[in-house]
Amino acid sequence: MFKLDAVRVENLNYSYHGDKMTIDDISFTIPQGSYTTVIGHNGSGKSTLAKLLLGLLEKKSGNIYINDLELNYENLNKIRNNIGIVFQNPDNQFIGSTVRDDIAFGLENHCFPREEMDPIIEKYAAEVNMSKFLENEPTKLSGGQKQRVAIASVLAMNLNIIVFDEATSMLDPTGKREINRLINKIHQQQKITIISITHDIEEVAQSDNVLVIDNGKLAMSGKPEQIFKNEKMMVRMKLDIPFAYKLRNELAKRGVKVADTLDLERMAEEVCQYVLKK
Amino acid sequence: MSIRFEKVDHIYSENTPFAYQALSDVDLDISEGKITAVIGATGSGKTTLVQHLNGLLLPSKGIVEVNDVTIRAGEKVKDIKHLRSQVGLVFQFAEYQLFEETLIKDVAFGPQNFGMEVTQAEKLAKEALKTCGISEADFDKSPLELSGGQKRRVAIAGIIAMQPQVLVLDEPTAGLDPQGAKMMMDLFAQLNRQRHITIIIVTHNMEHVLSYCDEVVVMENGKMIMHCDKNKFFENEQYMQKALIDPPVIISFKKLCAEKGVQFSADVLDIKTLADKIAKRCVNE
Repeated sequence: MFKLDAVRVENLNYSYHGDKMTIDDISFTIPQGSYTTVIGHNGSGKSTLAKLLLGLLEKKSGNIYINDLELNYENLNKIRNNIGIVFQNPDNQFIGSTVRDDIAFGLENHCFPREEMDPIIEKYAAEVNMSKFLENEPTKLSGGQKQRVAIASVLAMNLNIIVFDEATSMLDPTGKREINRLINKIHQQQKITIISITHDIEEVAQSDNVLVIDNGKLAMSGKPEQIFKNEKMMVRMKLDIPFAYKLRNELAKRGVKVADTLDLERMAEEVCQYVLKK
Repeated sequence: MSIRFEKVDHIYSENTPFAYQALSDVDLDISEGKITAVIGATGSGKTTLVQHLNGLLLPSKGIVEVNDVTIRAGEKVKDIKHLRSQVGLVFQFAEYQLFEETLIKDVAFGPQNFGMEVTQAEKLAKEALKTCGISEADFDKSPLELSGGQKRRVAIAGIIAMQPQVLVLDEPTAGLDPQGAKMMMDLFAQLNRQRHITIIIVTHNMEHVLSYCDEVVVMENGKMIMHCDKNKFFENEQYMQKALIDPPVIISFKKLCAEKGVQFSADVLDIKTLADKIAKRCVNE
C-alpha cells in the first residue's frame, strides 16, 4: 500500500555564518503517523533542523516536502496548516494577555470562525489540565503551566504533524509524564505524526524511529534498539543510554551475561534469575 | 553562614485581583557547606523560595536570615548589597542574562558592580571562566557566538567571579544534554568541596539529587513539607510518594527486584555498586 511520507528531506543544507554548515547534507523520511525522536548533543543542529522543517529558517539548498507538498514561499501557508511546533521555552511564544486569548491567537491566524473557537479552546485547555487558568495572565504562570498552554495552542490548530523541540525539558516529572501521556494520546487517537527533539532517553526508547544528529550530519537512524547498541557512538556524541543497557554493560564487565532488553521489568527478571541461581 | 526562614509567607501582587500566595508559613534551616536540593512540582514555590535568599523577593510575612543579614517582612532591608555580594543567584535559563560584548567583560561586570577595580575584576573573571571550563581562546568572543551550554557556563562564571559564599542555582541543567548536565553538576560539586561554598539547587532531576546532593527540601503548594538527608529520602518510598516524584531509575529497579524476591541493601545507590552486588550475589542480607 502506498503511504505518504509526513516529512521527506533531501540533501538539506543550512549555515548561519556561511563558513560552517549547521545542517550538512541531511536526507531522511518520516512516515505519516509515526513517532520519531531526534537526538544529538547541544549545538548539533537539532533545533535548526526543526526550524527548517517549519519554514522558520530558509534552507541553503536541498528539498523539504511536508505531506508531499514542497516547502517553498508559495506553499508556506499550506505547509503551516499541516505542521506546527512547540518550543522549549514557552516564554518565547506567548502572545495573548490571558491563557484563553493565547490559545485563540493560533486559531485566529488559521481563520477559525469565532463561534467554534471557545469549545476548541476549552477542550484543549482541559486536555492539558489548564481549564482553571483560562482567564489568567500567561506571564504569571509557572514554567510548566506555561508549557502546557503552549502545547494546547498548537494542539488546538488541528495539525497533522507536530514538532516538539525539547518541549518537556522544563517540566517537573509529574508534568512531564502528563505531557508525554498527552502526546502519546494524540499520536495514537488522532494519528498525528510526532517529531520530538529530546534528551529523555526513556522517551527515545519508546519511539518508532530515532534520528541521531551530530555536527549537522545525520549520524545514524533506525529503531531505538539499534541506536543504543552502538554505545561507542552514543558516548562520543555525549548521549546517555538507558539504565537497562548501562547495567547490562556493567554486568558484562564483571563476567555476568544477561539478555539485551530496554525494558526495566525484563532486566529485573534477568538479574533476579541470575542472583537466585545457585 | 547560616540560612534561616522563619514563618515566611510570600504573596505575589498583594492587594490586587491577581494576588497569589506562593509561600506559606515556611520554616527552614539550610545547612552550611552542604549541597541542598529543593524539589517539588512546578508551581510549588521552589523558585519563589530561593529568590528570597539574596533579597530579590522580600517576605510578605516572617523573617529570612542569611548570615548577618536579617530581612523582616514590611521593613526596609539595610544591607542588600552586602547580602548580594555573599549570595550568588543563577536564574533558570541563565544564558539570557548575558549582555556584554565579550565574555571577559560580561563576567567582570559583577565584581565591578560591587566596587572592584577593572584589572582585579578581570583577573577574577578569567579564573571563574576557567573554573567553568571555558577555554582562554574564547575569552574575547561575543557571548552570542557560543552554544547554549557554553553560554550557561559563562553566566555561572559571572556569579562565581563575585566569590559568593552561597550559590543558589535555579534549574541549572534544564535543557542541557546529559553529558553537559553532568559536567555542570561536577563543577558545583567541585566548588562545594574545594571552596566550601554552600550550594542550594532547584532541580527536577532526581538522578542529580541522588548523585550530588546532601540534603533534600520538598516544596508542595507553597509549603515546605519535608527537609531531610538525601539517603533517608531515597530509602523511604513513602517520602518519594509524598513528594510526588518519580524515583531515580536505580530505586525503581531495586523495587522491581524486591517484588521478585531479591532485596538489595538501602545504601546501594549507584549502578557500579549494584553491578558488584549482583555479580557477587550479595543480596537479601
